[in-house]
Amino acid sequence: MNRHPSRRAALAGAAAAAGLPLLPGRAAAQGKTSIAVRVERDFVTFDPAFRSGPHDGNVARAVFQRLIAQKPNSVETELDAAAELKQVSPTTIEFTLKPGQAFTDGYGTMTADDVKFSYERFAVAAPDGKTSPYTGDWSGLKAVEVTGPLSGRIVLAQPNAGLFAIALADVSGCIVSRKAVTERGAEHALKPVGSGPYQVVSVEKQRGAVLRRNPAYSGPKPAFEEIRANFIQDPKTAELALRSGELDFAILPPGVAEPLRGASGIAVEQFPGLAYLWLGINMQKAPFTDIRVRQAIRYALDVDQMLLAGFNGKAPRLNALVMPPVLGHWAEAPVYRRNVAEAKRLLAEAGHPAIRTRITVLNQPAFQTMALVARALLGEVGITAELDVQEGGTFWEAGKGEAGKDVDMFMMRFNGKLDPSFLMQWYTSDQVGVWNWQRFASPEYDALAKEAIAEGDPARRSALVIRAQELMDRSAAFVWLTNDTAFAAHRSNVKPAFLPGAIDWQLDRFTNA
Amino acid sequence: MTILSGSGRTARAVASRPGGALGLAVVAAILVAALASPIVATHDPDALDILHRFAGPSAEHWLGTDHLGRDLYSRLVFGARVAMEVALFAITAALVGGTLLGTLAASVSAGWERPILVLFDVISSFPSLVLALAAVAVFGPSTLLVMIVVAATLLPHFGRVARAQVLGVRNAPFIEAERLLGASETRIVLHHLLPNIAGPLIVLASIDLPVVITVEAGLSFIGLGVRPPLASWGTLIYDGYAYLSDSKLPVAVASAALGIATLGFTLFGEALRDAVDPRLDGGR
Repeated sequence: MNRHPSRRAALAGAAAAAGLPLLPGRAAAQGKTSIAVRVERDFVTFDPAFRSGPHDGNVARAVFQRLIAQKPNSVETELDAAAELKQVSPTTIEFTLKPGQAFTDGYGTMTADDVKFSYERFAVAAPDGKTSPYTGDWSGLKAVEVTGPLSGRIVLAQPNAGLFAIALADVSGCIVSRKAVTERGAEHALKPVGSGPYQVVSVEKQRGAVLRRNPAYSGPKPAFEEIRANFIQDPKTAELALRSGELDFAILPPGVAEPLRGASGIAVEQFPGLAYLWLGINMQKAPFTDIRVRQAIRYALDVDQMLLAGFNGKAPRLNALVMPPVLGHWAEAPVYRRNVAEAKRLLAEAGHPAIRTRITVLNQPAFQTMALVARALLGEVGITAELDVQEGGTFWEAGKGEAGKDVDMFMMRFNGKLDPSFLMQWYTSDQVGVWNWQRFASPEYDALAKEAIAEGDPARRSALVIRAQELMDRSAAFVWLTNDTAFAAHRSNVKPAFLPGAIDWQLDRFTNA
Repeated sequence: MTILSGSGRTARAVASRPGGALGLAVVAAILVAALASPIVATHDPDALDILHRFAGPSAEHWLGTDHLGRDLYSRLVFGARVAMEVALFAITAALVGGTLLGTLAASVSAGWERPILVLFDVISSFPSLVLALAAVAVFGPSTLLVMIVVAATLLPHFGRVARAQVLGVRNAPFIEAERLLGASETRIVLHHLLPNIAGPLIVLASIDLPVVITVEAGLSFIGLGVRPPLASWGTLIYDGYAYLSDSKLPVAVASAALGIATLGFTLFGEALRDAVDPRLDGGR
């Protein structure tokens, strides 16, 4: 008998195989095996110590393990790589790792020495001379002492109130392989070696990344075999991709997310935002070196009008750095109202009745819109502002290094966390030329930030944080705009998971709904 | 006098065709809007009125307002000025540069002609968008940059036509007669060659105008062209697109303007070509 399949049989088989997904039953009941999520910035590095923002961090959280990790959609933690974690004193934490947790690509199993390397490298310059921008997360870390192959002790020079939430359980607590980082060098940035639920299989500039389930991961198996993190900068394009089913999950601005409510197969959830926006002024560049000019700008602007234009009035106004749910929120912060006469008086008093300036802004509709309103409002007091609209690649570098000295004003959005020290760390003197684009350098603020992170008593810590915000307010270098409301839009058959604020995603905890 | 009467004849020939008359009317309307925009516009195109954003058409705002409460009609009128500025600058620069290079290529020896033709090939190998992306990466986006990029991409187009035209007439009996009379090459080029090849080049320029208008709008739409708050039809469409769920009017109005302008210039260009080169009339 001829056992070779005929061409007709092969075609019939192929047709049947192609038709299988259309059949109801088993495949449909199992749900999706892969999903696509939107990232609005290009990936820079998945290395936890050098990540450029939450978009990098969200991938790192899925690729690396931590000693402890947050439970899905919660700030409560549970053991992850650690079999045991015990705080024996305010400055000492002991840990024991689970055995046999394998790094990908043949880099062996996780040891206490990898934990030591992962945490201590935040304070040490990398071979290329760069230090981690997240050094503050590990503030007070003295050393990680290795007491056995799988056990060790984290020793702090001073208590760190945010250590568990900000460092240990989050991206800064990700455990990398010492051997892999050393051997791969710069290549490790986008070819990370982790032991977590997913591994990065490809990354392409302007396109995104593909994550695939790590078969060697010893923890709970994630729901999806593959996650595609698609780079889509324009929110409207992301909305269309969601509608067409090309995308399963995206965080969108309110103006784009609202119309999606009620769209077939799409769910929209709204969360109080932990991301915050402000208009910053470079204090070290004339004429903004004069506080009266900065105060005049603050009086010239109408924050409520800017928010109405940028967010359809759906974003709450922010009057200080720390937003309401976070410890240290300054409820009595001054609410500045527009006062054209006062702005003109201050400018005249400063000897600058007419100023030509520039507002650097990201090329996102909401930012551009608010900047246009700011431009018009400033124009009425004699400040002629030109908009310097930049795409993501150049915008995020505009205020860094030497180039940062030339920035006049800028509109900025930072992502926050529930701990005040995380929010405060970007405005210390050592962040000038990094993320402190205002070039706000106050030794008193630096001391308060340092004190606040070590303070264990919530009431005393809150007072320190408020005092620090008063200094920021007095500088008049910050015009706070909003902690924007986060809108998470997703296909109804996908259940996303993220930490409060919806900025920090738990990709490995996404499930079929 | 001869030139004027020639132009008048051409204009009458263009207007005598239904498509040409429509094209001429559209071109005239756009030119008036561009030249007299401060008079034709009813509002300051950059004046914000946040409380009246997305307003519908009314006696106050003929075409309604955009997401910042700016008057759409006025922005459309000023957008015509930007479109015409970019188009006329780019076309003129490409026409002059291309004609000079094309004439030069046809007038020099093969050894010197080759580099000019290679230059045309090199420029033509870059689509305008790719060239614009590269230029923006180096110099940053601006209106001037859009003009230069568009002019550069059109230059070989005019250069090749100019070269072919010059090659066609350079050995004509009247040119040979001039040479025998001792006329210099410069005189022959300026007084005889250029006037004889001008017609087809001007027709080509009129046909390229709508292309430039759409290229400018396209570059501005993707953020590589005109900077906010300057009104361009491309930025009007982009702004409207971002707020499509709030109002469809800005996108509809700006797209219609772009469509009508493109159609008008195309009809005008085709009618002009038919009028200048009657051999093509009815031949299509």
